[in-house]
Amino acid sequence: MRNVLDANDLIAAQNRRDFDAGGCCVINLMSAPGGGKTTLLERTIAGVRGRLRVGVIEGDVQGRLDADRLALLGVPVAQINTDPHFGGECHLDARMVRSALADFPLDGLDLVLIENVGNLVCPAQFSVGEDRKVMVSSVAEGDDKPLKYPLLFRVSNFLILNKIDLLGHVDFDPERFRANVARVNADLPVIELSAMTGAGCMQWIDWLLSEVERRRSRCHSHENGF
Amino acid sequence: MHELAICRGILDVAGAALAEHTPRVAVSSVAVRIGRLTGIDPECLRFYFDLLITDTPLAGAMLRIEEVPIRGLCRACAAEFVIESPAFTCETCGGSAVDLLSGQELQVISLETVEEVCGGD
Repeated sequence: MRNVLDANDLIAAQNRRDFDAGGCCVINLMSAPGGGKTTLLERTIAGVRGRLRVGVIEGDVQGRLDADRLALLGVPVAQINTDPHFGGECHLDARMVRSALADFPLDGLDLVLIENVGNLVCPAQFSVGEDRKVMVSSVAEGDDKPLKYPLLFRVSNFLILNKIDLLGHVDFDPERFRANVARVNADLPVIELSAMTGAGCMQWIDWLLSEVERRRSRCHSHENGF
Repeated sequence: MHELAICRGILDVAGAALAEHTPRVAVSSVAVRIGRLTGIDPECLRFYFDLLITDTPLAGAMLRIEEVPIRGLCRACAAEFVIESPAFTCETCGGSAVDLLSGQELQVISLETVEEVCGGD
């Protein structure tokens, strides 16, 4: 018996070793198309400026729209296009991320944010060597999504409910959403924010800072032989 | 949606197992175990499998799919149960803190040939 994704997981482990050697905390950011990942990244990069050195790996089927947006903020950005290089796949896998690492300055970074291809199904299956999987769900998508795409909600370590500035304009009940999340993953922390207005974003920044710190102390413990 | 990538993974594993085997044998079937939580559509997987094995050492093989149910273990009352609904709620006590015992499998179990080349658990 062999796992179908053994080859992917092997490459993910290689990525992980490179991330560890660079001392980077790595976040795999996943959502549906239009969930607000890129706007959240813009907000995040501004929010940690002067505190963390950030790099971004952008996954899209085609084009450099997101990479060009983020490069304006003066951080290293690598763009992965799944079409034509990787068969137009609807997710990032470990091999694709590995292809972006050759020219990526991991040594100078505290935090690497990987923006996965917008999709609620396929990215759930493929580890890329990340420390944490973070899911973004937006109120415009409806409060029933946990019950429709349970695997992504199940494998994620942290959930952001985005676009709360649209509450009142769309049919979305935050309490029902939280109850649906709990029905598929009772352990999943949920925060609410608007990447557009900035409301609630401090909580997200604080969580990222704590993750980077947690990673640092883990590496430090390793260095001291614990 | 990701059946093509998963199918390629299956063919990588099956192809590697076959390459370890000399002399070369014909494969009659490839058996895989697919957990229901993976969201893989078996018919779609078969479609890609038949397409991708053409002109490869696996040509002519059949894909045998064993679907694995999602099984939960309730943290509160320790009940074990099969999850059919979208919610992973304990059917005994209604608790929502549930660990998963199965349902995420994506495994190649065996290749069936004149003699078995990659067998057993």
